[in-house]
Amino acid sequence: MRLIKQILALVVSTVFITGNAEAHTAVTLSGGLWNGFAHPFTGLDHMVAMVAVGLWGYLLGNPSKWVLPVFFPLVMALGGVIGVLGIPLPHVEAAVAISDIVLGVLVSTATRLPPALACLIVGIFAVFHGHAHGTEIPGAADPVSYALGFVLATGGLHLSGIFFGTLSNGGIGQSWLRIVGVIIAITGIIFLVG
Amino acid sequence: MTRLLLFISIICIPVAAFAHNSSIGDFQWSIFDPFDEAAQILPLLALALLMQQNFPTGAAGLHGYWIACIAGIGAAYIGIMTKFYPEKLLMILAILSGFIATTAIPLPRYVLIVLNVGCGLLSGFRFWPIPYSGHDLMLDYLLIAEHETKENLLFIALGSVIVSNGLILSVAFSVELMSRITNWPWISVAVRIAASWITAISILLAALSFRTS
Repeated sequence: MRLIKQILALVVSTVFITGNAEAHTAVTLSGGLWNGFAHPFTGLDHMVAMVAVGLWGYLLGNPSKWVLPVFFPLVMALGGVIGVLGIPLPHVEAAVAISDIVLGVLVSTATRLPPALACLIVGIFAVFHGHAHGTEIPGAADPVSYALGFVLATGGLHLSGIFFGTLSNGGIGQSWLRIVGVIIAITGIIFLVG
Repeated sequence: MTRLLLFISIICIPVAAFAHNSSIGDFQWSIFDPFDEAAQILPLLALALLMQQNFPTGAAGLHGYWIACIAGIGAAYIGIMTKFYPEKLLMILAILSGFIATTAIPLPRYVLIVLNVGCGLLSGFRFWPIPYSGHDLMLDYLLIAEHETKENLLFIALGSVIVSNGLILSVAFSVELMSRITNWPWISVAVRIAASWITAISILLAALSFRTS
């Protein structure tokens, strides 16, 4: 009981720590970090594609399991540069929806491809995802924090895909992964025709 | 636990707001300087990951870093390169170092030293607390900085050198320590994933800075 009280006191005192006033937060990392981090989560088509990359990587096994989450952000950043520089890409939103369909089908059918080919497929889609994010960066209140946030969120979504894939090792097995793949593909179809 | 509570309450004593402080700062504030800009912290993190990947030979690079850092500050002190803006070059260095860490290519010692020296030199220019070094371009800051003695500015800059070295060391050694204690093979993968994120962020920030300029 004494320990619980002490822990409670510690939590309360930590929660109510008084910080300095931050008059001009837009020029620090608190400005657009949260918006950037939230961006991949607010667009369902983006979010499911990121998770699908992780899931497919898990199904492909080593080395693709970790090569894809490494490769995707790098290529996405290049797509982001195209967006930041204001160079237009045709049919970006359609390409993002198609990425959902393709990745969903690859997950649901547990298609095994060589790592190089898997990187090529994921890389093509990453350019479009990056472009979609990149065009919004210059308009953000704090572009630096915004970019930081969405790269971290994208990486986190990949890792969550791998994590969910790892969970399928026990219990109902990998059949639910196929169902998730179908759901991802259907999401893509809805965005494409919607 | 009681002592811990006492310690936390002492640390967390509320202080006055510093919205418009009338001082350039001191040694205490200079220790936060390496953390206040992504262009500064990203290459440091990338170099730390490179050092861990190439441990123990990579540790030699740190000597190159701190010596070059002091050389950079020294150059600013005597008035050389005072109108140099190192942020863009630091971002390019972060991209390069991050990409090498992502690919996990074993590097010869001299390449690591060259990368560290480059980062140290650029960081040294940036740590010099006058607006000409490329950061804190606020007019107030400029006016205050001109009234500071050069010795005081030197003292302030040295705080950033110590902390940036500590940052590289703590990241590199804590990852290496974790790797040795746990013997977990995924740590090397996690390092490469982190390096890819650093590279991606650096690429975007470099594009932004070039777009702005």
